[in-house]
Amino acid sequence: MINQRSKILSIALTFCFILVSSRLFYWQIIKGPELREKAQSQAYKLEKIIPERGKIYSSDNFPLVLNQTIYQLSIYKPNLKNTLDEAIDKIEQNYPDFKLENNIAIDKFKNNPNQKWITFNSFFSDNQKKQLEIPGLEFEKISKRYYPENLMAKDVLGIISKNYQGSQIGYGGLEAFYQKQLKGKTGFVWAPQDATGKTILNKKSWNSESVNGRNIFTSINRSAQFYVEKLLQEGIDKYSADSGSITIMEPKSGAIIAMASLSSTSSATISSIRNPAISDLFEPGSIFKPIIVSMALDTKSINTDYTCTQCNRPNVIGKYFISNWDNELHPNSSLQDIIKNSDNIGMSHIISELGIKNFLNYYQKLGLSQKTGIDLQGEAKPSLKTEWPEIDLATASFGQGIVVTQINMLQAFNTIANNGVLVKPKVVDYFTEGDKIIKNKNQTETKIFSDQTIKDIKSILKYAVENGVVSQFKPKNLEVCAKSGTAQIAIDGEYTDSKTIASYIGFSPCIDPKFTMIVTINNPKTSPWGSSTAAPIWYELASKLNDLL
Amino acid sequence: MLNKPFFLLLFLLIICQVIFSFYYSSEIVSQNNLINQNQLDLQSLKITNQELEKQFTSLTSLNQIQTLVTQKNYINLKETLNLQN
Repeated sequence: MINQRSKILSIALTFCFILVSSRLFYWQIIKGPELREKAQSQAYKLEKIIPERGKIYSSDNFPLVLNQTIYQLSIYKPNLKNTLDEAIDKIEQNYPDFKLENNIAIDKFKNNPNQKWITFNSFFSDNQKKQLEIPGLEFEKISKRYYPENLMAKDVLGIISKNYQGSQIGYGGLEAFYQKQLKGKTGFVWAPQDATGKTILNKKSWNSESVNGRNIFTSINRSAQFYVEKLLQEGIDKYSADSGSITIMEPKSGAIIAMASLSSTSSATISSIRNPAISDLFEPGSIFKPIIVSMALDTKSINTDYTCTQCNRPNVIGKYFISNWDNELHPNSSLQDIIKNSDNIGMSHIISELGIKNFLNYYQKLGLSQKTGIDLQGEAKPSLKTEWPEIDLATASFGQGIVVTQINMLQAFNTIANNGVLVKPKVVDYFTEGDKIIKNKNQTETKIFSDQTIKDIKSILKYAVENGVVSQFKPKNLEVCAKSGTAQIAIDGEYTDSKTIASYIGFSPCIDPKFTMIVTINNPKTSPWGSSTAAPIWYELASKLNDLL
Repeated sequence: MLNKPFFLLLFLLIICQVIFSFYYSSEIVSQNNLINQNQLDLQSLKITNQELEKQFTSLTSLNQIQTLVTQKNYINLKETLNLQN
């Protein structure tokens, strides 16, 4: 009997053992990995460490773009200890105008008992948030850009905004061009957490360090930029223009000193990401003439003794007549007088001496048929036509029928300022990453014009400034080599006198210049001419720059 | 007979283990609390630093200087008017 019982017991025990073992096998071996993962996800947490976006500085190390941490307020009705009115009064005490800003939203929230949650479009500082730590009020931390100089250099800086994935990325200007450098590297911490969700740091923690974005140090001169924007806005108002752009470059390095585009309806907020100085194509007009003369001198198609013997009559090409902007004729003009009088007839004869092959060769070498490669996002590529009938070549001599961006034109003209050497424009001087300084790579330099050509063209430009109509604006202490231009705007394939682009481009002083500057005024209504609209702005700025640089 | 000291020793070992565990875990908890607090302080200091940088740059910006210059002109104008009166 006992033997029987012990047999049953041992069978039962064996059975139980097998049952437990098989269950353990199921949980530990079969379901093991899944359960281990579940356990780890409960005990461990993965935390993202968002890096700080790099700041952007002007050439005097003053921040043009900073980061600020702000908080967005939400209210959850069920958690409120007091009434909603009391909570809103408390918010108003710490954030004046809160009721005014959110009038409609507050009313709707009060009158709708089904609405439990609301998020307001008001942003609170850290101090304000600390004063409002009461049940029912929730704050979401948000990192935003802050602009100490408000809208200064907005076209150069660009903006940041959320993309479709909800990540903040740069749009336009430096923010977009240097997105990779500015954003930094996101860090991660994989560590066990306690019951309250706090991280417990132990040997089993794993982390990948976050790296803050690089700070960008630009060549933008804050004072120059300030004056550029001030005088440009005044100029647009004074000449009743639609818009205008100014860009200033350091001749030797190509560093951009200031760049601004404004319109008569300029917005008071940073919203646009388009920078007309690099995005808008225009026909340069007469400011292109010194480039053509330089090409002709450099190829020895003409020399400095050139005299336009055919300037006593309009140049007839097929069915077209080329005449001067003032319909005057300047017989037997010297090279200096062709530039001084901005003589279209003389220029059309010079370009025929130069020839299409040489013209296109220099046009390409001066980078006028391609992007300059400036370190700003949104640069437009100028187009260059493939067919060049004689009339098109003739009109190209005075900058009509070709299109470039303002930065293209400045780069080409700066070649004259920089002794025939082409330098590419750039905005960023260097980056910093912690204590490390990283220089922005230097652009390649190409010699385009010979020293003799530069000497000759500088002398012509100086003569034109000192003896032309613009001499009235030139301060006596300033030596300037420059040229004005007025390009007609083509509407429906026809040039019209009613709309023009008035420009002035030049550098100062003529020998070893401190800056090269271009001023473009779109559709000025008080006077269409570059010499009476863009030139006064140029000279007023030049006298300021003379003291600043 | 041998069982008694053995169990006593085992009991003492268990007590030691428990005491050590309590001490060690409380040490870990306090260290972690300290780290968490320091992280919060660091975060708060970063935000304070941002605020100060923002205030400083606002006060020294060309915009602000321009505003101050305009205000000063206005004060001068008022003083001139007072003198005339």
